[in-house]
Amino acid sequence: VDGTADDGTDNVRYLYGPEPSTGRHQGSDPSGTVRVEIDDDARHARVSFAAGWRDGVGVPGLGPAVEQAVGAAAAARLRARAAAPSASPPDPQLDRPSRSPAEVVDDAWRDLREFQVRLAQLNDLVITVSGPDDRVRVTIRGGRLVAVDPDLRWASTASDAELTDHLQKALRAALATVAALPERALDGCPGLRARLVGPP
Amino acid sequence: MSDDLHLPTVLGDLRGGIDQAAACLDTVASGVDAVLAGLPGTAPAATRVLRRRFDAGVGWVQRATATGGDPGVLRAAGSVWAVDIGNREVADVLTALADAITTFWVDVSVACATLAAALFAAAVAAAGPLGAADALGSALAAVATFGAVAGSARVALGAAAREAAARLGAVGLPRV
Repeated sequence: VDGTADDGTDNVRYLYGPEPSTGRHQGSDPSGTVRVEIDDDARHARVSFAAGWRDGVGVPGLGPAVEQAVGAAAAARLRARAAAPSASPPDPQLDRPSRSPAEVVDDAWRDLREFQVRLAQLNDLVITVSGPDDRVRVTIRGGRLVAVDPDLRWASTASDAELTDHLQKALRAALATVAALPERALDGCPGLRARLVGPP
Repeated sequence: MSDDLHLPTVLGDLRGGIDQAAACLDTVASGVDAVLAGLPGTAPAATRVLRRRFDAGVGWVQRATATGGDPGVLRAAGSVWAVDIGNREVADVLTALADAITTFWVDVSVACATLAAALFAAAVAAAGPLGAADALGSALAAVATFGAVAGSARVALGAAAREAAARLGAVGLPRV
């Protein structure tokens, strides 16, 4: 268990597989001393520091530096994705429910409207995700990481290894939260869920 | 097949869904291009591919909504042939063709609603660099899926139309 998220309506705990996906995408803050690496699936994050980061960025600047490094790593991931060949079209899976044609069509458009409303609402939420012991908080809004806030008192005495460990766990929880938003919006849209995600 | 579609509603919803999908596609492309623009030496070729595939997959559906193809009219004509003229064979052909047209519009409508949903989610994700990569990938996948499903529906309708023409020719009527 890497962290918890609280969006005001429920508490969510996230479990992670032991291994990140194969690709690695790196970014750093403008000083180059705070670095973040995310995997192809954007589920795992690794944080590292170059020598001298405490003298340059320093603990007070650590949160914004991590945000910038995440943004740079995400951009690198996009560049790699944009250059990669896209998957070939899938075999058509036509829905043949037993309901009348008019009901099938009505349900499809109703699911679309419901999904759009729910996703827009979820996307507008400000969600704060915490790592272990609440040492690092990550704030998400609109699918973006808008703030990374380490507990500055703790961070000023923590070792680099402790800092990276807590930052990584908080970032992983945040990445999972961002990735889960579309699927959470599918609650109440079973037909659309089946077509977009597959059968349960 | 009972409870027929109200074709003007179906076509109106379909046009609206295509418009929504197109608007979301623009948002995805803009979001991705904005992130890529910050990276030296990166051309927005990926979004050009996305737009081209969308236009190819959706364009013919958009044109089809202009002419329609009303199963209700065929069923009514079939009823006239069965009841007033007493030719059951022609009525069956027209009813089968009406069923095929209904199935086509159902498949295309459901596929379009699914496409619009996927592109809406992609557009939301594309607002930030973190989600832009997934937005691009899921948009490409959604467009490919729509193209495959709608293309399959088009092939099935074409086969049904050819069969209807052959059956009508066999009973001595001009081909529809």
